[in-house]
Amino acid sequence: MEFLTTKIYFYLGTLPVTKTVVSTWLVMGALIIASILATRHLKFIPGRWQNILEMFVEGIINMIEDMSPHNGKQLLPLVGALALFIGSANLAGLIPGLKAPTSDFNTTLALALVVFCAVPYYGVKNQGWKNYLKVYITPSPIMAPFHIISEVTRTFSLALRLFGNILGEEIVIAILFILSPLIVPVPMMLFAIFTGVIQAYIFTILTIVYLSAAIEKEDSAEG
Amino acid sequence: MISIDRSIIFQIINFVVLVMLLFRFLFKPVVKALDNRSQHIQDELSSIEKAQQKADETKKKYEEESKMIHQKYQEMVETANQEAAKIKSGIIDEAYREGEKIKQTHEEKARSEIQKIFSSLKTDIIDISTEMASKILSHSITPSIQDEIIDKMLDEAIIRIEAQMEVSHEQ
Repeated sequence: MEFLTTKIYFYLGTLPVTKTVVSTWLVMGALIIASILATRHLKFIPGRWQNILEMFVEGIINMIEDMSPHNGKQLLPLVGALALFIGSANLAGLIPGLKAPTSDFNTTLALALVVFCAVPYYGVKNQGWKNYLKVYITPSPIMAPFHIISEVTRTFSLALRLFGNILGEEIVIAILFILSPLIVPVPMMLFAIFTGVIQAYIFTILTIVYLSAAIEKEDSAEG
Repeated sequence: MISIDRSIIFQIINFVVLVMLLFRFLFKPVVKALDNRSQHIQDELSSIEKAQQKADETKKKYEEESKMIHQKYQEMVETANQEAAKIKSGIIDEAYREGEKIKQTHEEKARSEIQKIFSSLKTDIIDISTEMASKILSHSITPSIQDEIIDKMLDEAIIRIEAQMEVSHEQ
């Protein structure tokens, strides 16, 4: 059960470089190298791999635009990066020797905090300070603390949901591995692929919901 | 299990860096490729639309021109018909006038010929009568001889008149 504790490799200044951080770097490196290779020779008439890549990007854009029309390209960098990173990080846990970065609460909380900061950023960018803050006192200024509490709790719920699912999954696989190392963990590992993708989808879709709500707050407030 | 430590700062930085790098190396080029393709398709569609519009305009222009030419042709045919009718009626009028003129000329000519014949006859009858009278006076004439002479003279007069008539008729 060593994955329940976070192994610290070394310190960079005062910041600890843990196994999770190293796994994150590896996942990041793999994603960036794959991206560079995939986009090296983009053609006007796409081949098989380019088609898959375009389908993924267009899928993310469509997913965003279904909830927040005309904002697909604006939110694509954050939402796309979240989907790719969480999906890859969840699956990284299945590689022997690697730790799923998302099974560490620091990672999921970091992601949730980025989303927490992105919500007012995109809200203010699209609606302006006045319109964005007006929503916090709608329908009455008394509601302002509740709005703030709601935003904080949903950030924690976002982080905890992903962390809990991935950690739980890893614990189950580890227990099964201890009990019967040969065949029994395999179905669970296959299931882990499924849940890993599902969790990435849930985190991404909730992020889109929060961001689109922030972008279109003025409309909903007026409506 | 749930512990928050300073590695969260690393993870935040890591993710922000990842967002920027993925934007630079993945999303930007792919979105650019998608945009270029959709722009190209839009350009093609708009150029097709323009060509269609141009073709429609040309078709309309040709139709208008054809209509104008047809109208002009109709006008020309109508004018020609009017001109022809005018010329026809002119020719007919002219022919009538000419006919009338010829008729009048011939009538006058015939009248003068008749006058001439009558005057010539008058002269002939006088001559014959004079001759008859001189012959009657110069011979002692029996009634039978007298009748014979008169018949002879009359026959001669008739022959002369007929000859005169034939000449005038031929003229």
